Amino acid sequence: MSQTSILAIVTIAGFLASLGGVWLAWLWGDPSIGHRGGAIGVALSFAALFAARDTTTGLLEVRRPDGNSVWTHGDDTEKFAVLRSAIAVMIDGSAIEKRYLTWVSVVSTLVAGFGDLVAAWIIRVTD
Amino acid sequence: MKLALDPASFTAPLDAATHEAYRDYIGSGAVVGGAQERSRVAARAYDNIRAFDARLEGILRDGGFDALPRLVGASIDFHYFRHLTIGPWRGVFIVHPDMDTAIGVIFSKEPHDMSQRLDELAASAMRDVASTVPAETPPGDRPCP
Repeated sequence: MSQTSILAIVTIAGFLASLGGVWLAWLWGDPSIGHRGGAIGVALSFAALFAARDTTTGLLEVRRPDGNSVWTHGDDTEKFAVLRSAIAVMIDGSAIEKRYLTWVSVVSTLVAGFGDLVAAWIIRVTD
Repeated sequence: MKLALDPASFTAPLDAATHEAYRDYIGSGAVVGGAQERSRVAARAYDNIRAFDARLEGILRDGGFDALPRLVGASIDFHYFRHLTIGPWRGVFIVHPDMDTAIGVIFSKEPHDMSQRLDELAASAMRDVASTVPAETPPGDRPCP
């Protein structure tokens, strides 16, 4: 599964957990559980941040078609291409992480901190 | 185990595909946007073709053409054709019934159109045969006995 797919799933799950915690708090009439979903969202964001990224190890250790290492038998063009691609993959991975994780981590953290207050307000308004 | 690979339709395409997969992989980061996905796809293709090479060497060393699946075709009886397919890469072999002798006739990347490729190969072989047979002299030009 690609990094993009994993992060998309985590983003959706994080939002659902955060908002679901507040919804459950309203449903059960207990504001104190309104922030728990946010904590789950934060945990998912962290896990995805560290686990979802494709590494560039395979690229840096690639073998040429003759079976030899690029670094011992490749020409400068090949070495430069490998380095450039490894850096590009890392930068692209970071951009994908930012795109997906920024909003879910902010929302989840806010819900983890203030979800109980939001739940209490919703319960009070809807009563 | 004896294995002969057709230089034009097997060895050359295999070598070209291996080098192309390698170039695609190390060049997957020429543009940053989408580099990760391109690198992932290229890595898989390159790993697959190297696995294909390794499997072929293993079969040559230890035998095992009988374990390869038969090539199922719509218009031609492929009874003695076996194929080795790893990822998008496929090699087609004509295997002797004793399973000890094989000829690698086609290497291709998907989408595979074996019937068309085999027809091309057959046509090429017929041209080769025709070029080795002396042209028949028209009856009117034949010298009188």
